[in-house]
Amino acid sequence: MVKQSAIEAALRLDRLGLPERPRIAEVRAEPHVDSAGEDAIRVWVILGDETQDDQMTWQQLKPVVEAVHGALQRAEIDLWPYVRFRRESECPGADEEE
Amino acid sequence: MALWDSLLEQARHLTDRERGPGRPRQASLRRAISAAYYALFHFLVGEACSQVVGVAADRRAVRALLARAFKHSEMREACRQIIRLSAAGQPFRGFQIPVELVEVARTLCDAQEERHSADYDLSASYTRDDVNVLLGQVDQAIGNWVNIRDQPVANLFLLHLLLHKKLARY
Repeated sequence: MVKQSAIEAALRLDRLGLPERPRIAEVRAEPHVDSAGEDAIRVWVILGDETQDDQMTWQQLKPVVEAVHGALQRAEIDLWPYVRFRRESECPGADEEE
Repeated sequence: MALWDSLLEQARHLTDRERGPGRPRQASLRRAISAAYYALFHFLVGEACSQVVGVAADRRAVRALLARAFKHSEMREACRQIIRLSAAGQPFRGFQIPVELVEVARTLCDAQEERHSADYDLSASYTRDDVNVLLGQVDQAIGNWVNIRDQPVANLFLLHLLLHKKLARY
């Protein structure tokens, strides 16, 4: 089993080599079991609240997803990262439907 | 308009049509995510059926029958194999794996998981951005596929989507 600390170390912001824009405030990794029953990682990429709608596109965010995959691969962590994006004010737990 | 194209249009409609506080509703976003996955699913199944059966109009019923044989889990496993081989710098049955194919495979895995979550995980909550990002990924995957569809490795990939477990023996 891969230790959470190893995952967090691999996904440290200063090691990911992310583009400057959109600004990424934080990367969170949580244990996840996917729909096939395989161990995986839920990765939350927290973007600055100043991020514009036209920056919340696949074209703009694809380099971030690729950086996450690459970082885990370099660390030899064979878990699939399922990546979701949120602005700081939309972090998980703060956006449930009323 | 092909089914996959209509599903993409439906996903965009569900994502864009509701404005205002608390909108789009979670139900709309969940259906949009599901539609985005099924757009890619039906696109790839359609490509595979056309490859195996041909595109003639009088073979439509045969293509439709073959389409029923595809399994989500097997397609996912085929995609995972492509991604693993590519990450290890290995060829796929002797063929170099183009980056476009890896992106198609990755998108199917991502979208399938999001579809499952959207349909069954009541603890999940989605934003319009979630759907737009996924739609962009699916759009790009389909565009990538069009660029490589004539390569032998793409033909082989389509066969694996259908017969991954059986072909794994050989």
